[in-house]
Amino acid sequence: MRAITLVARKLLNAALLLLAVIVLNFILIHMAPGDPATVIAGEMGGASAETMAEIRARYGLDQPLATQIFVYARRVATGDLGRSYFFNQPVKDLILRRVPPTLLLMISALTLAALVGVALGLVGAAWPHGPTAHLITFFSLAGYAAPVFWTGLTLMLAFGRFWPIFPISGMYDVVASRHGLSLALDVLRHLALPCLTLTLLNAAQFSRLARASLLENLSMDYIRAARAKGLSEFQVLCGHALKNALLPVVTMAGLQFGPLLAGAVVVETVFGWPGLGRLVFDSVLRRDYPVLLGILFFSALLVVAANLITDALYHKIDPRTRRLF
Amino acid sequence: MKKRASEIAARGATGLGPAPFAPRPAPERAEKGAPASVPPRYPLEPAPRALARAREFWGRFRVHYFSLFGLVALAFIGLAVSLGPVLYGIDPFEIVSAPFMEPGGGNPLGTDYVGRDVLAGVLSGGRASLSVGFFAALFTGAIGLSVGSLAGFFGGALDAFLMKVTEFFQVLPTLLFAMVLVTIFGPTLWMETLAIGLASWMSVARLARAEFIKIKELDYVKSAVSAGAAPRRLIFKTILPNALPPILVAAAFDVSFAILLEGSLSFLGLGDPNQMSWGLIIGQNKNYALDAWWTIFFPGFAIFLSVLAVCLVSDGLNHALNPRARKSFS
Repeated sequence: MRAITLVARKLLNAALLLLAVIVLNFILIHMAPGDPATVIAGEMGGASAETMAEIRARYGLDQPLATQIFVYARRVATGDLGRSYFFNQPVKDLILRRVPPTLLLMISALTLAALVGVALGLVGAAWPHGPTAHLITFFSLAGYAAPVFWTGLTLMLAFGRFWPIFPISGMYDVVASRHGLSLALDVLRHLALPCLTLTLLNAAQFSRLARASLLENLSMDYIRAARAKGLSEFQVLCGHALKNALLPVVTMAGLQFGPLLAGAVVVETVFGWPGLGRLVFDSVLRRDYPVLLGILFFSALLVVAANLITDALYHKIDPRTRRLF
Repeated sequence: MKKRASEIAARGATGLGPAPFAPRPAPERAEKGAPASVPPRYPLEPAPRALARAREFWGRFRVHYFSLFGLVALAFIGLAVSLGPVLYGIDPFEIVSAPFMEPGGGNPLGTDYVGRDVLAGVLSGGRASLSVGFFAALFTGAIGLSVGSLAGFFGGALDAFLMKVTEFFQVLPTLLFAMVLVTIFGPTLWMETLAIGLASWMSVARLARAEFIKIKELDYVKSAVSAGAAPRRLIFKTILPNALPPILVAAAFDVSFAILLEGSLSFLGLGDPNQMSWGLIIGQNKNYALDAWWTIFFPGFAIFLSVLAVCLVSDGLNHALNPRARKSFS
């Protein structure tokens, strides 16, 4: 019963957060310099008088602000994120079409980054002093300090020009077959560089966290007990310490979702990956506000969902959190 | 032997002043008939203390060679960025030669896709990148510290409300939120700074709140409360000085994050178009990356080096200000 109230509270909290994002979007539209209808139509100067009148009617811009915000919230809640007057399409359709490539990129990068990061963390914890530790420290620092677009362009230069084994742009080959296995292979080849860029950016943080968490666990009593039992250092590290050290890593993976999405915006721009990030970039250039605000809302939705999933996962893998209820 | 011990106590073990627990000479009693001014029981020692503290700080900072390297690199970058454009004397926006000239020869770092000097761009581009980074971090620190300290100190409904607000801002992906703000309100340096600050103050707020909650429960704060100190005095005089070190470290680290964010914004074409910046050079030349690596490499390396330097310095600050802290790069 208490578990149910807890879940209900989490869901309510998530809904409130999203409502706040809607209100923020509304405020942003109204705070932007100029008439809100112009803002919504995009500053292309091409909107006809009829279009403007239609926008005013649709968004209720002739009504008092308090009414407008209700109208706006109700529309977003029913899945209507407005219309892109550049594409002449509903924003929702535009976004949904771009989601699969971005999710593919993000999830593959997140998985790889977590795996590489934990592996490096294990190495770092196994030899906490000396050159190995320095090397890993340097790697994680460099991974943080290198701007994403720079890493991306450098990789593009390395694997596109000096050792051209991967395609450097887009998601499909024009001439490749569009079916079955060959399609999957084609997409994978195109995925390699963007995914590698995002992985490098994130693996650094995972390795730092995993190493710190492992070292902390290694100083605990249960590890001493495991060593006293006569287990090999490998068994101690991978069998005992790793399991507990993974908890913060899971939390981190959930929290990384927002930054990862931001990284994807830049990486997609560099590699011409046809996802949400590319759409953001194009919408910024065209000042296509409905798309931009729609993506802001949608990414907040993704982050909130990722947080909920992390909570649930945490609950699943850490028995201590379960005892509380 | 006894004399020596008292000597040490008087001079302090470090020779920099009285040791913290050294017996102090009893204050001279006011003579009869003298004005009725009560001498302070614990004499204030402003100048020597501050100096001793600075020396102690430097002593802890300089033993970390990586942090020293960061400090030297930061000083070098600062000098290059502030004096470089004047000494080099070439306008970063001026077309000085044919496009895509390779490094060496007339243009030490080559020219970009319209024939502008890359070295001039790198030198004067640092001004925008670094100042936006610095001021955005200042802004981040100010918002974060206000929100965090209020929430941590007062607790209750205010805390719940402020933490909800913080949680709300954390839901918005930082870069995306900053992009939307700059797109709507116009790409100027100040808007960039504001947008970055507004999009990234949350971690400082959480840290400040945690510190305030921790310190609030300590005995010396309780004694100040029982002595009748007002909330304002408690916040600014009693708690803040002790909560500040980790927050300063976080703010220093935030400078590096803000530099990266500024780089991304101007790379995406959302920087001030009238201000040269490192991200802008890369963004404008990105389509020619395969043919002119130097237009990408040098500005990117400048960002990399500055972020690295700021990280290392903030790590050194951490060692020097919070000697017992765990979080650290090395």
